[in-house]
Amino acid sequence: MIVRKLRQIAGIASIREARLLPRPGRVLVENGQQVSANDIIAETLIGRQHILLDARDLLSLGEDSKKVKILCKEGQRVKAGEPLLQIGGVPPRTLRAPQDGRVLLTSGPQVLLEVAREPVNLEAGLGGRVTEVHEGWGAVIQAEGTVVEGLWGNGRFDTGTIFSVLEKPTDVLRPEDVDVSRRGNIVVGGHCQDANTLKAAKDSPVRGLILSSLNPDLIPLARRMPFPIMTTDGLGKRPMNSAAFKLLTTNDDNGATLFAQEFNRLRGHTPKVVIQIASLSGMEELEPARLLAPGDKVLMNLEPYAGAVGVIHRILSQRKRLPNGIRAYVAQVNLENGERAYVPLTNLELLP
Amino acid sequence: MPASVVDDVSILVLDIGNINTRAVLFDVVEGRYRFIAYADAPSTTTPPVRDLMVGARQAIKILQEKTGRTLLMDDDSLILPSTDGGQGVDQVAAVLSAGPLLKVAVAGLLEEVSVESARRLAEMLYAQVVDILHINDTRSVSEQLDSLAARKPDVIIVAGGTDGGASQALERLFEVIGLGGYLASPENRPTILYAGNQDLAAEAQQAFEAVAENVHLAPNIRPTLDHENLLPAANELARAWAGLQGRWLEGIEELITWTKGMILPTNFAQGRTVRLLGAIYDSPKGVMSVDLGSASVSLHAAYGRLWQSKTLPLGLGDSLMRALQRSSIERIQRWLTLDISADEVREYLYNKVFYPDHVPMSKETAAIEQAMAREVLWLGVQAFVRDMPATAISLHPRLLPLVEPIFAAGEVFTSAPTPGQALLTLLDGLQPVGVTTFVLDDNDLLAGLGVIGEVNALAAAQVLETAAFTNLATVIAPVGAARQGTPVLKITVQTEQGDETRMTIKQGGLEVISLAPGQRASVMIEPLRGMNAGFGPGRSHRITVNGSLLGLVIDARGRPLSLPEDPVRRRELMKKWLWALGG
Repeated sequence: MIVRKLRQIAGIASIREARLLPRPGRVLVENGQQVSANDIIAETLIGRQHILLDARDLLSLGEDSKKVKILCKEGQRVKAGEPLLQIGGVPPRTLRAPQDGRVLLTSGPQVLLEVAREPVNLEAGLGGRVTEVHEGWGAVIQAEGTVVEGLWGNGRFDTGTIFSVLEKPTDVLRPEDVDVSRRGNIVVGGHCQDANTLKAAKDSPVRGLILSSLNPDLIPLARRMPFPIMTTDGLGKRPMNSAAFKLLTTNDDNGATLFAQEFNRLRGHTPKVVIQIASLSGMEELEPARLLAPGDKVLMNLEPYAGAVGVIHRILSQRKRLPNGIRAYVAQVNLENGERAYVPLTNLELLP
Repeated sequence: MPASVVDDVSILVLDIGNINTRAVLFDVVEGRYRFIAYADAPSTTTPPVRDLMVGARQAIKILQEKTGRTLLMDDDSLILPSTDGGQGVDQVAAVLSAGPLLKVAVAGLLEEVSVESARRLAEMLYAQVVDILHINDTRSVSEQLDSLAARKPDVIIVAGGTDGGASQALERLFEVIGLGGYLASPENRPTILYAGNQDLAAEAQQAFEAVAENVHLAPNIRPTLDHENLLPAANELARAWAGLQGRWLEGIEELITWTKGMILPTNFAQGRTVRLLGAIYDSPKGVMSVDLGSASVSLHAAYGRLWQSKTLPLGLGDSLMRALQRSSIERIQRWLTLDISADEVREYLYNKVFYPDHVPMSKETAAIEQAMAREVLWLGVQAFVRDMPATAISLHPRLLPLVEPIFAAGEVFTSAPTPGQALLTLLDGLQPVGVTTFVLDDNDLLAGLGVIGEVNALAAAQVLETAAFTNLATVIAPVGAARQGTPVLKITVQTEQGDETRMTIKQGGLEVISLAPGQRASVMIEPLRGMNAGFGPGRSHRITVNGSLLGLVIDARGRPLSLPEDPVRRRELMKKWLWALGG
């Protein structure tokens, strides 16, 4: 039975992160170069809007489009009001640029204009070494640090220093935990239950929130927050799993990058935090999936054992009928609370 | 080239899904093709393994253990073709539902004609329609371009114009699509399928080839206003499937080598088998299948030579949030037999998205997943009946037409704790009418035979005859207006052994008459009070019923099914229905 370890949770590991622009631009780093997390490694402009000017819209029925004269060139920057197309005749009619922009394409009687361009500066995100350059797009950064993958993310990204307010995995994050004293921190908290906590974090302002879980009612608000938010253990009231708790509560003041990308299993998108640490002794390789075996430490994620951690006692060779009647390949797991349970192998997540 | 029985060709079908990878073996036994064995293993398409062949090899290894036949060499390479010693297989084919949903933009002239057909074509694949362009689009061309640039469709289906009809409007549409392709970065260039006015096919090829990843040309999907012809265009897209999804799936090259490119979308292959069955039965009633998975629900029906296929991006795992957006926790909660709070239901479902492969461990979580399945099925039925062919016999505009049998695929049915739970989920979700038979596709044959039919039509036809499916139940569901508790149906069952059972069924009732697999019975159906059991209001009819896991089930609960508002009463009723089906 192959077991897919869904998440990587490792004390010290080598991490490779591809940092790419949303559209082609200019890469500012070279292979082998050392970068810090806030270094700009690539830049581009995003054309947020396109305007198609079509001379045929001005032509009368039967009028020949050959009368159209293009007055601009591809790539040319134009100012609002600048003439772009002219239709011959008396008097000649002219189509002008409605806004400042750049001519993307001229084709027959048409001019495609790109306007409202916004600069995008791509940060390295990690302090480390450039190991691969994707010309026009970005680079792969290799770094060493602690990595904790989460589940839910609000799609944002930032860097900051870690500060944990967690005392136990079941803690609830309160507004006073993210007051102005936490400005610039990526705060490790517990469960977030109410909107006031998120609002306080915004006012502070924090650089990010790492939560054990989030009240599902807060999802729309959390998505609107300007800083990254990641949950380690999902949605609803869930404690932080012990492996993440151990790592996230012992790294205060270390620099970290929170990639809170939205979870998409099929596209391989998982939110994660990478904490950069000074000492690199005891490096662990992030382990690929492997067969589960007795003695493995495992995490259970869904009811009735949501958040429970245990150790595999034995793996049964035949399918076993669960209490609800479903038959599945299972392991017998010794839970931390002393209970022993049969759990489907597919429900077990391997912990380091 | 079609093989014959004389060739004695063994066939391995690999079905690679988002959760499970299945290996199904077919071979010739006593001169005829037979289903030999089935095995499955967890799919390995997603991180950290990210190689679909790891899961495929694992499933083949389990198949080896089950059959005692060596299929892989020591280095895990496939023995292809088979050896004189009976090791390996001669042909491999694959079906693929793994990978993210394809983002499709559809473009045409008239919203209710060619655009509608293009949308139906997209719904034959695992796709999500992300943009719709047509000549009456209220957006400016500039806004359409911005939309295409933002949504980054993987595929653009361009339709419109009757063959030989006007071309100017279509040419303007080409310009928009062409500019849309131009604006995409080289990595995001869409594949474009042109299936419009055939007079403009060469022009479309020329307009798109510089700005598209690939250009496919297909016959017009709407050659005349009143005629739709989706199949050739669907075939074109199905054959391009491995290339389209290959961007996301590591290991696809080896699979292409094994299969010599014979890889189809799973839903397309299932639809192909249903169309084959529709042609074989050639009955005014349709043949239907439903497949409910983690990322999508697929429904197919064939009514003689007419058919319909629809796959919606609604599922029980990866697409669960999308399904929840179209429904509500309260709607799902009303299908529960157990008292589980809305917060608990919501929390379980929201987190199930992160763990779509997890097996429900408790009665409560199994009940939540079955409730969700009912809701997704019902959403599927509502979309399906909108596109029903005119020849389908419909007893109610919001309900399925007369269909028999209904094949059911998907773990929620085939691995249900009991046959009764599988059937009740299907009955509540699909709400079939008249007489129908439910068949479980627990050996993954619908998809397998669909792709086999491409390489070996004889094998597909012969395996279908062997009935390697599991008959779940025959259901009689009358339709009509009657008050709860009034008699609506008389049933007389005479088994081949001479046993006779008579029953009068009341409105609201759910009754079971046991008829084990292998048994047959003659059943006289006499509707009362103008009820319609599929033979006309008040019309009686005699049918022959084959035995099955649950036997004959009379579902007189009413159509559409109406549940009590009071949650306690509703749960009691749901429990009663479940007990009637054996729990």
